[in-house]
Amino acid sequence: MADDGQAKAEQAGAPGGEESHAADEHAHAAEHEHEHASHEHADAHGHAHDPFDKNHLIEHVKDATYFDLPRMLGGHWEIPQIRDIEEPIATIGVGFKPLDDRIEPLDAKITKFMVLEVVAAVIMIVFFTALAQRLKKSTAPKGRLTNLLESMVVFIRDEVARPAIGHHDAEKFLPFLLTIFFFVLTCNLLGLLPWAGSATGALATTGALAFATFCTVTFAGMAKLGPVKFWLAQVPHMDLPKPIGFLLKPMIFFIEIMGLLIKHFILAMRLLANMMAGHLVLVVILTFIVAASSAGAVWYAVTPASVLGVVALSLLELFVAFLQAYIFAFLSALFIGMAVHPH
Amino acid sequence: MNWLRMLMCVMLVGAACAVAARPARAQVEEAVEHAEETAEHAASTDPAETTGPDPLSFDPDLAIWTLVVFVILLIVLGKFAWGPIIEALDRREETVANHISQAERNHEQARLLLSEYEQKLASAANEVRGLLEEARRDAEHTKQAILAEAKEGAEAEKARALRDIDAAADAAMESLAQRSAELAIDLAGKIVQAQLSREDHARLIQEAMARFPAASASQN
Repeated sequence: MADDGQAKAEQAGAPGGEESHAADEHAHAAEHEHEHASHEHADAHGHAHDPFDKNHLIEHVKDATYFDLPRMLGGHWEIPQIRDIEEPIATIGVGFKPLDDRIEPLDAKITKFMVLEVVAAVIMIVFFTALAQRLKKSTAPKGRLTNLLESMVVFIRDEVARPAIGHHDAEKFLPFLLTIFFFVLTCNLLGLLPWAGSATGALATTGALAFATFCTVTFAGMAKLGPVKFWLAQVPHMDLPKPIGFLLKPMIFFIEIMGLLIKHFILAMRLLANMMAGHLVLVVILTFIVAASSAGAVWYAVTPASVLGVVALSLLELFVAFLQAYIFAFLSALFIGMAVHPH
Repeated sequence: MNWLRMLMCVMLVGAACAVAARPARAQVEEAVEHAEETAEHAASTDPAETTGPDPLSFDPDLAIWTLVVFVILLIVLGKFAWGPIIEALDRREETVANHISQAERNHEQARLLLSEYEQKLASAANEVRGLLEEARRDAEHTKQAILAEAKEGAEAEKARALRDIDAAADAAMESLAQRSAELAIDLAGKIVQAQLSREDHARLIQEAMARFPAASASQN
């Protein structure tokens, strides 16, 4: 890190006089370790840098090919890549420029969120197979973890699946709903760990999960009503005179199909927006510390306020993590219920 | 207890500050550094990239990865976790429901038994009351009989005593009369020894004897 900073300092070659004050403040704040490194670092960044630059803030919440660890744990840690080539395998486009600009190329890079998703999956497998083993041995509820997980499982079954899908059909979709609920929840909660991030703060993740829901909804509907009848059932029954019916029904069908797609898209957007916004707010509040680092004594007032604010908002985030997982699972259940029991 | 809670709160906040401050510092610096890097990169290579990262950008790699992870998770958990867990929960629910219905049945049974025993107890009390009543009646009866018998006995005793007294009185009277007659005769004999013969004597006694009972009877 120190070498890196030095190199950059030389490259930038402009450690000005007025920045040294900021650098001192900076170093003072950074506990005791790496005081030297901090100096270099601050010097390297000395020239007027807007800490609230939107790009910096988003950069921090977004997916990346590295982990930002504290320096004592290795600092910037690039994830080892299997295919470490910048050249994309393919670029995907739908022919609409604003959309295509947002679709990143397919480059087979392993990212932070991929790693975190695997971590979430491993955590879930460990916890729930353990719970299953425990319940196989004896059905008497025993142990705090068992009760905690069990109560959530029962909640999803009794408060989400059954009311939304119906008592009879709920059992079939329960594994899907439980998996999606706990996967979203675990990803959300991983976002509250320092140095990790929430994979649900990327459109690709929430989009893929919403797509999984969409597939489940359509397949469930087609399996229940038959492949043709399911799509026809999207048009609500109306008593229309024949000629108007011929004209209106295709339009209504189109609108309903669009609605079906849009509501799943919104499912993805809602989760994304909630997770990303929460983390952005946390980053912004923490950035106040950086912004105040050159403001002398004010820094001492800003820093504790900022830290306390982040603690309070992290608690809110904890709530949001559960709430959004619940909403995602509940809406998925609702969509499945609507597909299985039309009207 | 309150101060303890407050102390805990303060400690928690302190710990949170300590924990949060460290990564925050590091993270923010990292963020600044990376922004710097990207800015440099952008400046040197492509001016179009200066628009910066887009929060709505879509990484197909991540999407595919997410789907794969999700599907694997669904399959693995479906096989090893959700199935057994739901089955166990259903089993437990059934067991609990059975226990509840069993308990309800038992309760109903106990209630019936209780009322039965209460009834029995009441009838037993009635019976006891009847028995007591009967016993009292018997006792009364016995008492009356004993009293009557005693009275009768006493009555008979009295009558016998009276009879005895009468007989004794009669005998006494007779002997008294005889004695007094003998005395009188003796006395009179002594007085009239000379004039009276032996035959006269006997006749006089006979006459007196015949008169005596008549006189004593009239007295009574």
